[in-house]
Amino acid sequence: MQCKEIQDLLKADYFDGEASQRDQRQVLEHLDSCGKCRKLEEELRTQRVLFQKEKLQNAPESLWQNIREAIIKEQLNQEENAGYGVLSRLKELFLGQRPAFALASVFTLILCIAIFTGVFMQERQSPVQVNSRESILGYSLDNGNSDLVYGLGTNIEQYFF
Amino acid sequence: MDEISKEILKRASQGDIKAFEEIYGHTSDFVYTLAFKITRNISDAQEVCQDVFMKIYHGLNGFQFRSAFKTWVYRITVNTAINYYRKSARQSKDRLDYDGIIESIPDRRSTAEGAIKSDNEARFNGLVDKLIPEYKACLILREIEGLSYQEIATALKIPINTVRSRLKRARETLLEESGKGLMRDAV
Ligand SMILES: [Zn+2]
Repeated sequence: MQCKEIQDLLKADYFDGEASQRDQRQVLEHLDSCGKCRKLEEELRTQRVLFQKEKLQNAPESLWQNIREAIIKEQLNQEENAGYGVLSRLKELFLGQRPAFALASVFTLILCIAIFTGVFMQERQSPVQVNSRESILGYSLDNGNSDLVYGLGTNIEQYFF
Repeated sequence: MDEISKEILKRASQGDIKAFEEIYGHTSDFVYTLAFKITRNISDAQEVCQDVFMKIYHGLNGFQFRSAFKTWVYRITVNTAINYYRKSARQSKDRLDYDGIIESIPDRRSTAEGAIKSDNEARFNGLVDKLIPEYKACLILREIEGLSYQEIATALKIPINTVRSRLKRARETLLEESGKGLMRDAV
């Protein structure tokens, strides 16, 4: 084989372990006697090392959270359209992964109920309580909206804490 | 990328988010690496990833196990990343030119003794970045994922000869464009 054929094999099949045994043997024999092709093989190996050196990138943590939220939102919408599954998905969203977040949600819920019942038991209300009743009623009436799921976790929490 | 059990795939296709998280755990680093190597931009890579995993999630139901799951993921990832790269307004026209493998040759910088290594690595990566994405995708699947020509051909739905010639052309281009002597010193 001529240098040209050997070099074609070097740059692809031989280098990638795809060459036939016969071709492989011929390349090896040629490399023994040809400095030019030997140099090419060395350069290809260097190139491979450099290419593999740029290590695998780790996907950022936030990525999974975004994907998870997108999927849950989608599932919610589907079930919402079918008219079931609100509670179980809410539970999954809130109790799914973040214990601190779940705890805060439960605490908020208890607080809401406490204030809610408090509001109805009192005849006269201070302006603050009027506001809180309005926002609670606003959310509790808005049942079919999937934004509710996120609203409960953030807005009310911010409001109270 | 490891192969994932049918059981996990089935559960994920039924909407089991824990199972899908497991799939994500097995595949996300590869998907992200490929997306990043092709788009060369962290926020683009993240968008590609999100897009890829939503496609996987939606496609799982119809996945028939006729091909290996990972082959399917390779295909979705490469196609999504390349489409993204092409659509990106940041890319100049000549990069879109299919025939122009390499955009331009960066200047060879003078290097201090101690800086030669990292400088050459950076320079080499700069050359790789400028390969057209189809060539880059073949190189990544071959050199990082260790796929055979047949596996690459299946994943990308291209003839084996195209795989062979893309790898050969990519390597030739990198050899031509890099300072060969410098490259050897770098290792
Ligand atoms: Zn020779």
